[in-house]
Amino acid sequence: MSSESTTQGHDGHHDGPHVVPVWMLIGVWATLTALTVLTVWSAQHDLGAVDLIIAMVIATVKALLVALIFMHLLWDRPFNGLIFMSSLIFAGLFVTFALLDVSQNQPAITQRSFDAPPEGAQAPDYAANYAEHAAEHAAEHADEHADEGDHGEDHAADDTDGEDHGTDDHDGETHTEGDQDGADH
Amino acid sequence: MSSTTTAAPPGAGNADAHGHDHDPAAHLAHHFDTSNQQFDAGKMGIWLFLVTEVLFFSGLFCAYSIWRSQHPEIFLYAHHYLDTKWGAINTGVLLFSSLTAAWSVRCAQLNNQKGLILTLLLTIACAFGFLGIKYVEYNAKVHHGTVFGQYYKPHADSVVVTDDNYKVFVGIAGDLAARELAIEQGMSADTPRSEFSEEAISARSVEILAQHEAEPPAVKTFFSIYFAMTGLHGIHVIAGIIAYLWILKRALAGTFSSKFYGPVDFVALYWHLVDLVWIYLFPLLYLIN
Repeated sequence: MSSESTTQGHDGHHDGPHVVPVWMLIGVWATLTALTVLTVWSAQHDLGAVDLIIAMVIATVKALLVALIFMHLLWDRPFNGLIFMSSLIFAGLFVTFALLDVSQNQPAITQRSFDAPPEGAQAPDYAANYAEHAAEHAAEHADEHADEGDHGEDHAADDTDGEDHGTDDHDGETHTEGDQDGADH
Repeated sequence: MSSTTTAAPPGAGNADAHGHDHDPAAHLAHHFDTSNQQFDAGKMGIWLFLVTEVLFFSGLFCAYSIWRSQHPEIFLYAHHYLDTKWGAINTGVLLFSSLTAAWSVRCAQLNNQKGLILTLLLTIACAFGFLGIKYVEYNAKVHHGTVFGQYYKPHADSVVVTDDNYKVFVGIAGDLAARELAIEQGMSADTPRSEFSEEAISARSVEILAQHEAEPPAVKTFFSIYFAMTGLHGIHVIAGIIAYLWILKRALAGTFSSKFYGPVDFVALYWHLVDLVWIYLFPLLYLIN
């Protein structure tokens, strides 16, 4: 078999295409599964700020195993690896520069998110909001409980003009817009 | 344009003209001199395609990074709506399909036709399994009203209840309501929710929600990014199924051998990329602390 497969080899590759041995395939798969269990386990324990870093390191180890062995990059022409790396570098630059820009404003953002909720954030009456949904829920079962029908009606009417963004998005939009206005002035 | 139909005669002609081991096989397209050249060109082509895929997904990963760095509280709160169990099972399914995809390349390289067909079938089955589990998850979200953007209208009984700046997960309002009602009526605390009327559960859920901290503003955006990322990934899984059905059809026709296995290899590379994306999506969406 191996002598046959060497006919596929590129001129520069005298060893031919690499056939990954079964033990390696299964070993990589078992490792990937074990790492998945590990990342789920670590997420269930509060490890503080390093949580995200641990999850990303584990994901990257998994990604390397898949890329190098399942995707044959370890034995592929280096140029193909270079092509793939270039995409990761550009994706990295993309995210990094965007985040650098965001982090410049992070103190203000954090303050707005935690310490001083923007105006309007407190305004929506969540209980009333949920009561509406409960009524909607009840309206769904109006067939079985005919007496509940009138409860859900006004909300159902609200639903039908779902295209009307103005009314539908009301509670959500007010604070985000108020947020931006506050920053602008 | 008519590469496959005119492949054989020019290929054979080239072999005569150049006088070294050129391959006159039927799979050789006329614009390639050798099978190796054809294989290498195809391989570089698929890697270039994967580059565009990485950049395609990177837009969403960038949006995710910015949103999460700006509003960590939304991710902390809303990830409780996702079921880690289903996410982990789907990760396992996709990892197994990556194993069978890699194995299918090995089978083709070694002329193992039965193994090739078996591994292709397993890969396709896993892809369908993944989509099935995704369907269960999406269906629950639609049922609970926890979907993207303006359609985010969670029903009271399915709202996540947290405390202490969203750090402490108290439970799902409906479950807490059922528990309270059961204890009040002298029943076991583990009495299933179905024992109580939906109205009672909803009403009690509203009360429970009023006793705890309100959800952070704009949770709907978590669901927007969740559906955008997993949805785009799901579309790639569907595309992978179509590609693999095409490979399976050709494998059943006996097209592939140790001399010609490029398409099996290339589709497997695409499939591994779909797996790679999920390897990052799973911790980023399901495992947040």
